[in-house]
Amino acid sequence: MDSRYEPSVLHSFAAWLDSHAWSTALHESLWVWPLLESTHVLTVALFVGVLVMVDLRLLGFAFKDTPVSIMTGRVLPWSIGGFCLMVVTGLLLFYANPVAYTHNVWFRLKVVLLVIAAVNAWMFHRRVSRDRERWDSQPRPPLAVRLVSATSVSVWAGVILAGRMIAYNWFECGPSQSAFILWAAGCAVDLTP
Amino acid sequence: MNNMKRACLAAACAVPVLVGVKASAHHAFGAEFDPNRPLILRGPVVKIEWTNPHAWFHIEHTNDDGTKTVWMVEAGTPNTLLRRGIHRNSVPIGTQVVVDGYQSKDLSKRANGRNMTFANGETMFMGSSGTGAPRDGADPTEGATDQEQKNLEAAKEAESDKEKE
Repeated sequence: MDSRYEPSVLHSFAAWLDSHAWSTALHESLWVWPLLESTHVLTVALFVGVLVMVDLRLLGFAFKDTPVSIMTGRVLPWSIGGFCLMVVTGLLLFYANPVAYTHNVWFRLKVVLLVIAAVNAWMFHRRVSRDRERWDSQPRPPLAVRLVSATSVSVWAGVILAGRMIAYNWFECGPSQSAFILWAAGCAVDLTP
Repeated sequence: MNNMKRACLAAACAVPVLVGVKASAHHAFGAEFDPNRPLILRGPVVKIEWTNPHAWFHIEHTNDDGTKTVWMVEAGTPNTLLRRGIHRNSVPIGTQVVVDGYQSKDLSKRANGRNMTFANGETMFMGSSGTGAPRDGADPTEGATDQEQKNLEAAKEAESDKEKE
C-alpha cells in the first residue's frame, strides 16, 4: 500500500467524485441506496456462493464424479451474472460516499484482497487450466489447481469480512489513531473541510 | 454413528438459530456504543447529515459549566426517519431538541440516538430497531422494556407463591 496509495491523488479523485450532485443524491436517497446495498449483498452471495461450489469441486471435496467442464458450464453463467451486478452496485455504493471509503482501512484491505483475487483468477485461466482436459474428470485435480482454489475461497472470504467491517468506524482518521492506522488509511490529507 | 449424525444435524440447526439472533442487528450497537453511558443532550440542531446508512444529527449541547459542545448523534436511515414522519425539511437548523442516547465506546463526542423530543413535547424514536441497543423503551417496535419484563416476572412469581400457600 505504498506508492499505489499516494493519498493526494486518491483523495483528490474521491473529493472530485464527492463533489458530484449525483453522488450526494445517492448518499442521501430514500430508496436507491438501500436497494443498492441489498442487491450488492445478494449478488455477492450468488457470485461467491457459486464460486465456492466450483472451488470445492476443484479441491476434490464435492461433485467428484462430475467433470469440471460440465459443472462450470452449468453454473458459471449464474456466477458471471451475479458478478456483473455485484460490481455495478459496488461501484455505485462507492460513488455515494467516496471520500469516507477512500480513507477506510477495511475498504482498502478489501480492494487489496480483490486485486489478489483477480490475479489468482487470471493465474487459473491463463496458466493452470491450460491442460484442463488432462484432469477434467479427475475426482481430485492436481496440486496447482487445488492451490488456486484454496486461495480463491480464502481471499473471497476475506473480501466479504473486510466488506462487512467497513460499517464500523473504529479506525476513522483522527488524532487518536496510531501511526500505523494513519498510514494504512491514508490520513495524511487533512479531512477538515 | 447414527447418534453422531443426529448430533451434527442438531448442531447444524442450532448454528443458524444462534447466528440469526446476531444477524438481526443491522449495525451492531455494542461494537461502537456503550450501554452504560447513557446521556441527555439539550440544545439546537446545528447540522444534519441525511446520509445512508445512518443519518447524523449534530447537536450543540450546553454543559453544566456553561461551555458548549457539539455532539454527533447517530440516527436511523433517511428512509426509517421518513417513515416516522421526519424528513429533511421538518427539522430546520436551530430547532431546539432534547436527545437521549448512549455515548460511543471511544468516548468521542458521538452518541447513538434513542429519543428526540421537540419543544412541543412531541417525541420521536430516532434510532434503528434491532441493533442490540438496551431495551430502554424508546423503540416502539420492541415491546416490554427490561424493567417492565422484570416487573412482569416478579408479579408472576408472587402469584405462584400465593398459589403454593
